[in-house]
Amino acid sequence: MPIKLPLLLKILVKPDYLPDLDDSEWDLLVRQARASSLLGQIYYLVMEGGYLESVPERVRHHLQSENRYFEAQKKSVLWEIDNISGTLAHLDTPIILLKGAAYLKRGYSVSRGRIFNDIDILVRQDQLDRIEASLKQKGWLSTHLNDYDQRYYRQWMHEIPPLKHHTRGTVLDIHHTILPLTSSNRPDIMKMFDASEPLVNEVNISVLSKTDMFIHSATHLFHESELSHALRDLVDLRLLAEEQGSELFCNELTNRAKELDLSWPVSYALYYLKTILQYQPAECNHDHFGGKEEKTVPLFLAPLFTRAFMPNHHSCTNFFSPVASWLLYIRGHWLRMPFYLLIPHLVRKALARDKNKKKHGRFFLTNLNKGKDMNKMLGTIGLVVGVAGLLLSLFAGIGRISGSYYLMGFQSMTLLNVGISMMVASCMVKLYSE
Amino acid sequence: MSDYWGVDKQFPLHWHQWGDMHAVYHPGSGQTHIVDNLAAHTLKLLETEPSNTAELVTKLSKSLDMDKDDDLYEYIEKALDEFKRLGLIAYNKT
Amino acid sequence: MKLADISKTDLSNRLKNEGIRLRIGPFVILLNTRIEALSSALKLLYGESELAIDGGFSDFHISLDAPAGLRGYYRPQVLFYFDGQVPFKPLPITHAFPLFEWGLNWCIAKYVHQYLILHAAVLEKNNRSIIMPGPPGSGKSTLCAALALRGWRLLSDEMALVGLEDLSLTPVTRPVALKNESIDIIQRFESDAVLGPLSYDTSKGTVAHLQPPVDSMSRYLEKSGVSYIVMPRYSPESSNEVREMQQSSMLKELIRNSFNYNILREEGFRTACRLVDACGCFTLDFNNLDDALTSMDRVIHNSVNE
Repeated sequence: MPIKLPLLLKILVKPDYLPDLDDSEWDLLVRQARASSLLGQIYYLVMEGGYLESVPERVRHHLQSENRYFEAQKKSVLWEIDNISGTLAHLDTPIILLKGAAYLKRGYSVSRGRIFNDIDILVRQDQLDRIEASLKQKGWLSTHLNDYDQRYYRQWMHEIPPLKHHTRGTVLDIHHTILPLTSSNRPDIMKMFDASEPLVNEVNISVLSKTDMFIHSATHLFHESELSHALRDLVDLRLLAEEQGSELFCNELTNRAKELDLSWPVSYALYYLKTILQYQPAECNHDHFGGKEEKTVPLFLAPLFTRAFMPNHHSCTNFFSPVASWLLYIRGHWLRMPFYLLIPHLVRKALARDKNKKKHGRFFLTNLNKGKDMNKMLGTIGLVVGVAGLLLSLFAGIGRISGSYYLMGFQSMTLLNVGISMMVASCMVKLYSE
Repeated sequence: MSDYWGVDKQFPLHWHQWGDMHAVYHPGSGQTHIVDNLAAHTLKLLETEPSNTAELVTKLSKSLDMDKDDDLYEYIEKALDEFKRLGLIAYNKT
Repeated sequence: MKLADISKTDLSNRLKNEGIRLRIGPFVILLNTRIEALSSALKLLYGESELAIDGGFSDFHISLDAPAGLRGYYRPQVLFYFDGQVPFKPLPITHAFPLFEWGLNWCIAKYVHQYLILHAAVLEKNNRSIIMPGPPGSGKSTLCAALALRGWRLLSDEMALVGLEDLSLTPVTRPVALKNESIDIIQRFESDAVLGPLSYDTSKGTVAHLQPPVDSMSRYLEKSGVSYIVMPRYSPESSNEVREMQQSSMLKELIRNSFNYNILREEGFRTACRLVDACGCFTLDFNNLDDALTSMDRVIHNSVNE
């Protein structure tokens, strides 16, 4: 833990401090909260505590503006859910709202002030085609049009390529399970379907059970590779836990997490709720997870996540932040998609297809009377260029992830592209020299 | 034509009038539309209670003292289609 | 203290270090930059702006800087930072001042929803204010500059901030952005007009900013009531003519030219309708500035039809 707690965390832990803030502290708080997508949450903490009068006028405008933005989003999302529900009503299959949309529809406190971009729904995999077809008839278009992306999503991901409404611009993510098909965790999604709860006054719209909502949110947070909203997600978890309001919650949560084989994200969540937000759901102790809390998060991961949960603002970052976010980025990808399986598989597939061609197609190579030395030299050049390209890409990639727009005076994306081009070129040279 | 259409109570319309022209705001879509007297009247009838085309023709002809003829029927069919397209009215579930 | 009261070296030092807290209309902007050219442009064009004392709450934390490294020598660029985030692509360093202006517009449009914000110029004369909404090419900015140079009080060139409760107009008096041929037109119209540096080849062509009148700048806290909405339409072929505009059509124009109508929802609808109710609504076709100015005078003297 850092020695000095960022102001935003102090306030999230103890909102009673709000009326005592002076103008400069408000300045810092608004910036930290805005950068962490938690300004809406601050507005509600102010309202809940009845502190609005004590907030400087200038600050009040920012809080109220954020709330207006939220209210507008809320109405348009509720309207969009109505449209989606109507479009899919004739299919007679449950549509389970996930995350932001579900919180809104349920009216949970976690929805208050929470800004989100896409509507996420979960549907049965065997109904995907019908659902997609119905939506496409009503103006929803696929955002990823090329074949590779389409195949990529459908083969490896837990969702189909997002759809976008052609006039309203809303983006709809359709999931058929909660984690990518390639990830090491493969919870039995049917169990979540079975426990889902239909909404009153709705024909075909359901939401996950409260416990499953918590588990889903925790699972996502600790599988994520981009943790720029980590703190917001942790606050979500606190509000979801508070929403349960039952003393049995912890027992239920533990048993359910075991049943779904998702115990570890839940125990991570409880651990960080306690260490970062100093919150512990009623009756929760770590006996529930059969061990001491220190053991739940591996030693090398704990400080990385602690860093990631700091406000996403330059006043709260240090030299370690970019390193931590880069390592977590790698970790996230590793969990969701094991490269050691994926890359060889893809390469093998690509080569297998080319083999047939090669028998006839290499005439232009064999016709060239290449000397052995020539080959060797080309091979060396290829190797050098390839390694240089790889290093450059890594350098640019790390730089970009750690937030530098510019490296050595060039846009980091330019460097990344150059690096990739070098690697591609080296592959061609190596192929040619074989 | 026994389909009943109405304004979704979740998204009540907001009105403003300038002479023969009416501005109507739909809180769901967030869109504002400018409509004439007859269209405004039709929409307000649907706001009060869901109706089908035949009922609308009767109500309109009564309240605006218009002939209950094919023109009116055709007009209402068209207006309903437009309202549906704009999301102002929804198929009445009850 | 005003920005103009700080010496040139002092200003660039402060901009490089702790920054200045500039009062622009109702906002306080904490501004940092190491770019000397921007520092002098600010001194020229925002010279009459008040500075807020250090510390306290700033509405927007803005800095503009060239990215470090080799790129600083080869076709140098400038980036706009909003509290450390970079919302836009970099521009050539010569576009630093327009980038500041556009960036500030972006901040206001994105984060300020206590007003209905219209893409419109606002001017006042004899306690009568006119909102002039206008898409690019309507001649709005040129006409706005001409009116400001002829004694009208400039409340805004780009954004009308309309109070949701009382329909009052809050000034955000800033330099008037002139594009392409408008720059020459205004220089010919008033040889004393003070223009900032020219930025060539921006996304809007050549851009230069007109220094706002001293009187308008000093009255930056003085709200005004609204009396008229006039849609200017410049065309070399048209004759000068003011015509009343149908209220429902004006509502549509206001919505089309609004930055946050979709966010204010019902509140926006109510405010826009009330605004139309409260104002005389006109279109103004014009082909030269002098006649347009006469027409604007006729509008505020209620003598359009005479």
